[in-house]
Amino acid sequence: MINGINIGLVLFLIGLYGIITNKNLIKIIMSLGISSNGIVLFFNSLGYVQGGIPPILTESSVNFVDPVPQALMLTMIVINLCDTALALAIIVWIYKKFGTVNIEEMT
Amino acid sequence: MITPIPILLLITPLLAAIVVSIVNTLSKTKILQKIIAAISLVLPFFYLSIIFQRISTESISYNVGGWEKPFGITLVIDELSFILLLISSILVFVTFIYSLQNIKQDTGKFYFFFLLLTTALNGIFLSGDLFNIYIFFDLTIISSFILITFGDKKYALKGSIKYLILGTLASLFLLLGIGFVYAETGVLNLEYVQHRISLIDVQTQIVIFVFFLAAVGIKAAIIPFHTWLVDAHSTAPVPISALLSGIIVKSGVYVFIRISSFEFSFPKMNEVIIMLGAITAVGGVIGALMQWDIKRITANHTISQIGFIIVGIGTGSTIGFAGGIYHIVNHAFFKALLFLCAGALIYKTGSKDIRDYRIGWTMPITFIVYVIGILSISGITPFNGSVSKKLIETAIHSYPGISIMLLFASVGTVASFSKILYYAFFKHPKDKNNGKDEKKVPFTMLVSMIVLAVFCLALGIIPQVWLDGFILPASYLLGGVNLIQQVSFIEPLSILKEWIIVGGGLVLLFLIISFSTMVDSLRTKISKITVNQSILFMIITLILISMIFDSLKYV
Repeated sequence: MINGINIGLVLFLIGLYGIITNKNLIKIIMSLGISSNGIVLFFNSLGYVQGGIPPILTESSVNFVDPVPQALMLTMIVINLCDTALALAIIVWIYKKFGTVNIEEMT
Repeated sequence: MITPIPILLLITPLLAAIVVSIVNTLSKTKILQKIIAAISLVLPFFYLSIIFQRISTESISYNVGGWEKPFGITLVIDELSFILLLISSILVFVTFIYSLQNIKQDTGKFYFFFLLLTTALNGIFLSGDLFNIYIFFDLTIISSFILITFGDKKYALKGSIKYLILGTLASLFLLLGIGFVYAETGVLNLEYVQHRISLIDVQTQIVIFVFFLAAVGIKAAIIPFHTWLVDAHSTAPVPISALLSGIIVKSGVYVFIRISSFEFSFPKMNEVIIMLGAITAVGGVIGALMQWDIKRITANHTISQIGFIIVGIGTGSTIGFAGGIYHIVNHAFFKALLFLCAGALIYKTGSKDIRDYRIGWTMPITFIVYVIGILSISGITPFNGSVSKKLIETAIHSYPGISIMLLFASVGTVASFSKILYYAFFKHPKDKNNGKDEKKVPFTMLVSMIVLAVFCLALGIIPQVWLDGFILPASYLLGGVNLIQQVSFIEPLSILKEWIIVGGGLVLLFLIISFSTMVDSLRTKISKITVNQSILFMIITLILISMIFDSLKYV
C-alpha cells in the first residue's frame, strides 16, 4: 500500500542501507539525511486526515489535521540540521588532518 | 504543588553558557568565564536541597507555558530522577574543578559546551515526555561530540565522528519508536504511555520495544551497540572522559529504566535484557584485558559495568532495580575517579601506554585514591562496588548461568586493573632523568580526585543510609513490590569469595601476560572493524531479537 507512512519507513531503510554500504564519510552523512527525511515523512503522515483542514483555529473545529506531529517534526528538522552541519564541519577538519574521508584509510 | 525549580535547573546552566560565550568574545581574561561557570554549577545544589525537603511528601512537576499534561511539556522530578540529578550535579562540578588546570586552550568554547552538556543532562532527567527525551538526547550527543574534539587531536576526530554517526542513528531509532507509540496511543507523556502501552497489540509492542532498545542500546553502550564508546571515551580530554563514562552513558541507562517500566505485555522480555546485560559485562572485560592503553582499559570497563547495571534492571524486581540504581551511583563515582587518576598519570608521564609508566612511589596521593577506585570497581567489601554487586547477585539467584558470567566479569576486572597497578607502581621504576621532568600534579586535580574517593568510601561503609534514604524509594516506584529481603552486606563468607575472585584475577593476569603476543594479534584484528560492519551487526542483532520475541509471543 502506497501511503506516507510506508514510504517514510522505506526511505528510512534506504538511508540505513546507505550507511552500511558506504565508506565515504560524506556519503554516510547524506544517508543519515535520507533516513531522517524518511522519518519526517513518516511522522507527518501519522497526523494526516483524509480531506482534513489545516489546524488553524476556525469556527468549525472538526476534522482537522493533527498538529502535534508537525510541531515535533519542525523541532526535529532543526536538530537534524545542527547534527549535519557539525558533522560536515568535522569532516572538513578530518580531511585536513588525514588527507582522506574514507573511513578505512583513516589511520 | 507547582514550583518553578525544575525549569530553573534547565535555565541556569543554559543562561550561563550564553553569558560565557558573550564574555569570551568581549574580554581576553580567562577568569570571568570560570567564575560564571562555577556559580551556575553551584546553584543546582541549592535547588536540589529545596527539592529534597519536599520530595517525600509531594510529586514535583512543572508545566512549561502553563499547558496541562498530556498535551503540554511537563518537567517531572521523582525519586529516580532526583538521584540522577544529584550525582550529575556532583560529577559535573568535580570535573569542572579538575578541568581548571587540565584544559589550557579555548577555555571559553570549552565552558560553553560544558554548560550546554549540563543543560542537556538535566533535561533528560527532568523531562516527562518522550519527545523531550529525544531533544535532550540529541543535545547531549551534539555537545559531547564537540567536547571530545578537545582531546588528542587526530584520534579524537576519528572517535567523535564515529560517535556522531552512531548517536544520530540512535536518535532516529528513538524517533521511530516514538512515532509508533504516538500512532497507537495518541499520547507522549510518560505516565500515560506507561499504562496505555499494554492496550496495543503484541506485534506492535515488539516493534516499539526493539526500536527503543536500539536507541538506548547505542546510548548506553550495550553490546553489540557499544562500538563507539571505546574510541570516543579514550580520546576525549580527561575531564570529559570522566563525564562521558560517569553520567552521559547513565542517561541512556536512565531512559532504559523508564522504558522497561512501561507495561509491555509480551513474554521473556526480562530474560532477553538480562542476557544482553551479561554479554555486555563479559564482553567489556574481554575488551579491557586486551588493551595496554590506560584510558582504553578504563573505557572498556565502562561497558562491563553497564552490563551489571542492565542485569540488575532486567530482573524487574525491586531488589534488582535497587542494585541497578545503586550501581549507577557507584559507577558514576568510581569510574570518574579512575579516569581522573588516569589523567593524573598521563599528566605526569605524558604517555597513555601503561608499559611506559613505572613511576614507583613518586605519586603517593594518586596511588592511594587509585587503589580506592580499583577496590571499589572490583567489589571488595568496605568499598561501594561490593554493595551494589551483592544486591544484583541476590536479584539473579534464580539464573545460575548469569551468575557465573558475572563472576567471570568480576575476575577479569581484578585482572585488568592489577595489570595497571603492577606496571604503573610496582614494577621496577625507571631511572630518574636527573629530576628534569618532575611535573607536579596540580592541587585542583588532586582535590577533585580526593573528593570522589571520599564519596566511594562513604557509599560503601554506610550503605543502609543511602539505601533507605534514596535508592529504595526509587526502586519501590519501579519494581512495584514493597518488599525487599534483608541483605546483610558484611558477612565472612562473601568476603572470602571476594578475595578468591582477587586470586583468580591475578592468575588470569599471569595467563594474559604470558600469551601477550596472541592477545596483541587479536586486538589488531578487532580494531580493523569499521563503522559500517558494526552497524550491520547491530541491525542483524535487532532483527534476531525481534524474531525471538515474535516466536515466543504465543507461548
